[in-house]
Amino acid sequence: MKKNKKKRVTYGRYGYFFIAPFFITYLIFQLWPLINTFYYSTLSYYKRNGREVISFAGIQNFLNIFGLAPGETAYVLQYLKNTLIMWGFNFVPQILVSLLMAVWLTDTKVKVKGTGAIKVIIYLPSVITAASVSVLFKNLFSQYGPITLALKSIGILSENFDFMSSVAGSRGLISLILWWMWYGNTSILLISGVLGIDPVLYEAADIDGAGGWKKFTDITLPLLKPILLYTLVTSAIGGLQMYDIPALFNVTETGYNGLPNNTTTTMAMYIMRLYNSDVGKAAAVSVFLFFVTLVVSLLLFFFMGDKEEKKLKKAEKARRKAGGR
Amino acid sequence: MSKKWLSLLMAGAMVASMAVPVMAEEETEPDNTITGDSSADDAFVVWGWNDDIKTILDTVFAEAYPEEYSRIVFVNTGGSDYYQTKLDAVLEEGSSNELYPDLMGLEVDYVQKYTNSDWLLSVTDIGISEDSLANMYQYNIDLGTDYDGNIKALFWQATPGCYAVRADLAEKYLGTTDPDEVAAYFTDLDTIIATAEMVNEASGGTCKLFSGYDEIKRSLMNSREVGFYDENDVITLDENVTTYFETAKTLYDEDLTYNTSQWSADWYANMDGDGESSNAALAYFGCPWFVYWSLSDTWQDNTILVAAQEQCFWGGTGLAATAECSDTELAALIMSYLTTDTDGMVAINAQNSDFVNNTEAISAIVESGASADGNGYMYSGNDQNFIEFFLDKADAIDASTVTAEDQTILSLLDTECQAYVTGEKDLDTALSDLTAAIHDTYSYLSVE
Repeated sequence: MKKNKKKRVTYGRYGYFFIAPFFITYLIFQLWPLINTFYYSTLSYYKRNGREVISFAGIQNFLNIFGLAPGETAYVLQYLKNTLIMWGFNFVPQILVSLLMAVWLTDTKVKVKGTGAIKVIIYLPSVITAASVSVLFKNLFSQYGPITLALKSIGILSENFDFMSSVAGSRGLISLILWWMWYGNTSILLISGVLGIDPVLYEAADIDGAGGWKKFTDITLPLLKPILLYTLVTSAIGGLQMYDIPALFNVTETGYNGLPNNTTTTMAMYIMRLYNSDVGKAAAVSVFLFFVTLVVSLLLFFFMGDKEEKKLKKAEKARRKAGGR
Repeated sequence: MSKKWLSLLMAGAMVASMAVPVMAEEETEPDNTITGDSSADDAFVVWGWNDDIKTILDTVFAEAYPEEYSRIVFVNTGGSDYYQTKLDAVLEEGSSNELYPDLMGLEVDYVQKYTNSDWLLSVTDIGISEDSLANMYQYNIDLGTDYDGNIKALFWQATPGCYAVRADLAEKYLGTTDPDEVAAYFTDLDTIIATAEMVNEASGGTCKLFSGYDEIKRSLMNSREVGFYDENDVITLDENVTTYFETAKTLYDEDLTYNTSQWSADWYANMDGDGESSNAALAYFGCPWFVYWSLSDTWQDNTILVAAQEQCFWGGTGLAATAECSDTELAALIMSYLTTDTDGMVAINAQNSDFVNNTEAISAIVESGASADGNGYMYSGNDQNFIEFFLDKADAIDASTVTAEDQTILSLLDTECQAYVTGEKDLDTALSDLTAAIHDTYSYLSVE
């Protein structure tokens, strides 16, 4: 008996060895910089002509970024708004189209042909680097780009319209690019989620005479919730840190000002712009972004978490307590 | 429950710690192109944001010093926009990095940042005497000098500004290819607007004077009387900024340009249009390097140069040796051969027709008649001489308003200018927003 127990412990130790590299790299490359960012946000830490000037500043950086100190402007709120708008217009259509793709491609009744090919094709855009995609779309939709000219010639766009100087045009295109790049990825995730649902449920529903919509709302959606939650949370985090496409798409030469009029400047672009001149302020914006991300993620967990299961667990606990008594 | 919260927090911390978009940064920056073996013991690393320096090293320097040339490793960062970010990281790391530059190129818009840093050696430290700089244009020496008067960066070219006018379109829409007569259309901003109206009307909109309203930006920004901030670090906007915004608005409102931005694909495309069936721009803001570096083949034997409405300059590249330079002798050799040696600079001119930063070399070039045709770009229908055209303009350049932060500030200025021009905001708001944005980026610069 004793011998057996010892053996089990020895094996268990290997598990820790295997996960150790991740935790070590996480501590060094992620947690430590994270803690440092918090620390830097309390410093007046700017660079001038390659020299760093550092002193303690308390919460001054935060007062500055929220425009609470005299003479300061709350750019951070404007850029957060930009980020959320571009993320929303990308994400909502993305999840809808992905759900549709997932349902269609897995439907046992419709039996779409060539699902493998379709999956590859819709996934392909996310393989291309952001730099190439930005350049491609910029050329297609520039003032004299082929698509702009085509849309003008058939009268959809007015003669003077320019995507690059239109707020809705620029934001819309960035959302469109992000949607186009990532809906395939989300579709694949949701397809695997749908395939994980027991087909018996659908068969039973068929026998009961449920229609496609009924099956979708009463079987697919509820059982897809965990994977939907995962998609939402990862997308929200990625969306709040949106950087590469907006930083390459419609920007001034140095790449940190989203045109027109900073309406496509994201939080991450702002951090990068500040990082080159004012590390303390950049850190304060990063800390703010951290908390926004945290709050958004927690809210999603809170609202999307499985309430039924929670209820059951609570009831179980109550039952045990009562039984124990 | 508490365990769940803890794990949630941990998971949240883990994902949110990616909030500093370090990974994304790599994707947006172009890759470095490295020529040569940086791991060699005697590797001498030179940095530039394009191949301009490399071409000169490959031809002019290689011919004169083949043995030294063979040690050079060239790092091309693929664009000026991210150059500082890449360079600063390596400079902070020091010579332990294999790619730490021994010598580097610095553009006028940020050369002052580096000359005033601790990253560079002064030229006297590496054995270049100040006397040997006697033939340089003074403005270039000033650009390479730090606040304490130490000269650190040396330039091989002088960059007087001008407008490059396409001869075939000038013939068609201005009715002349005579340089003096064409120049009369560019004497001041009012005349320029009148010319733009004339060209637009005559062509029915298929040819415009400029590709974008920002074509007048450099002439106005590089002829300012005050820099973007004064000696007390208070942000100052020269009257030329207002003039630029207002003129740009007129050009935009009256539809006198194609509203492209400089260096964009549409901007390039307008170089090659025929002005009838395809859109074309009649003139581009230029300078000596712009002609050989940027104009397309359509402009070969088709370029007339006229003075800009303001005495101005555009760009230029300084060479500087770094604090931890592995071989200061070679750094000094390259710098002196390319920026002070008359033979070396005549050779640069022979290679690309550039207007070199050496009055003695320029005299020799004018005397020999070299580069008169500006690398084949000058219109042969008149007798305009490329080098002679720039002589008096180079003498008059004043670059005292250049600051270390110009590149970023000009980028902020572009954003505000566009917002004003397209009607997003009024002039006063645009200007005060510009001041606020400069202060936001550089907190050490204050708003009055």
